Amino acid sequence: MSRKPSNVAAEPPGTPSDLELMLYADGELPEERLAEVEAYLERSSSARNKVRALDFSSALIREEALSSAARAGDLTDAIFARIQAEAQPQVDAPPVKLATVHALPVAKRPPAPKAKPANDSSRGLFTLAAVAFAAAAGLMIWGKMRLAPDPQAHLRPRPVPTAVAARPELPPAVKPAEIPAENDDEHGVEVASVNFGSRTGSIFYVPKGAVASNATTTVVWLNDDAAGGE
Amino acid sequence: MRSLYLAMMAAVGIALTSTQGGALADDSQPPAQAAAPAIACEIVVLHATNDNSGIDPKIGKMPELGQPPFSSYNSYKLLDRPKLTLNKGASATVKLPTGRDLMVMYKDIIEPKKKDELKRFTITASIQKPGGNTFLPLLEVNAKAGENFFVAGQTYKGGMLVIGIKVNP
Repeated sequence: MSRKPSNVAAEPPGTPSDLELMLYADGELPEERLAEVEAYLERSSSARNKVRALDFSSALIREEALSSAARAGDLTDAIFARIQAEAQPQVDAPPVKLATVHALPVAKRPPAPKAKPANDSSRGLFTLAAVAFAAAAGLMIWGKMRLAPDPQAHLRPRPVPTAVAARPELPPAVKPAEIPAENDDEHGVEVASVNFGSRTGSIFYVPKGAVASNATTTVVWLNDDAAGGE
Repeated sequence: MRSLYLAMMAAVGIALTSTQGGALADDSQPPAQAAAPAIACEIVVLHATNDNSGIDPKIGKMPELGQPPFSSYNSYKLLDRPKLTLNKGASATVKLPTGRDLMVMYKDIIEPKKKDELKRFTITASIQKPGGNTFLPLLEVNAKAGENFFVAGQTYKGGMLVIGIKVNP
């Protein structure tokens, strides 16, 4: 349409182009050209025919577009109406007129009622099974807590006896001497307790013979200088 | 009436059974310890000096006398070797050359903790002079049979008295 035919130069000045005629038919022609185009249309029958043809085609296109839009709306309404009809119970469903049904927002649609069978006892059984399982788990945990040794037990303070029973074989005024903290399990004779009295003494574990042997002889050695022997 | 009687008899029977069970449980405890047999104990009294006489052959095999602290004396002479029979809880006295008394008592027996171990005998010993001061108030040992233990330190005639005590197997 941008290319003008070769005979355009022969037309008188002010003759509207096809584009201007289309704009005129659509009512979008600028006002400064509107008077000239209308004057030309009064003079030219062919121009009027063009405008008339443009109006006709525009009407056809508009009508087709409106009918398509209407069909699309009808289809949407039909889909929503069918969905709603299927969601509602058949017995309570009122007769639906597709043409009058409007689509409802999804959030506003009423939830479909759930029918519960008369012989449905699975929920009760499930509840009982859950309670039994919870009780068994509780018993198992309780049993483990009682049986399992406490890993932190050695860190907790232990009750200390307030009184220590005195050894009956020792006089109360006499305190036994300190026993060396050696492992006496290997010794043939273990010193259970010794009381040196007012003297000083030592305990020796003397090897019996070969160095490799662990056999020892226990010797309690006292100092007799103070008392003096014979 | 008969069923009531049977029920009463059953209740009495159950009660008696439970009571006897308790009695049986009490009976399952170890009975009062039987009288432990007496043990034989050997005492050696040695005189340690530095008179270069060496170790008395009568002493027998006693290699520890060559080890410290015994090695501070180069001569050992056997003065006495009494043998005692000790009953549990009873003591025996040995007169020492120093005039003191050695009292030895068999106090208890200790069962071994492991299978391959020998039982031990709890022996107490004390050395004191009648009317005088006490040299050793108390010594308590747990000794295996056949193992010597020594009490040394009493001065005696320029040397020292060494007393060995052994429970014979």
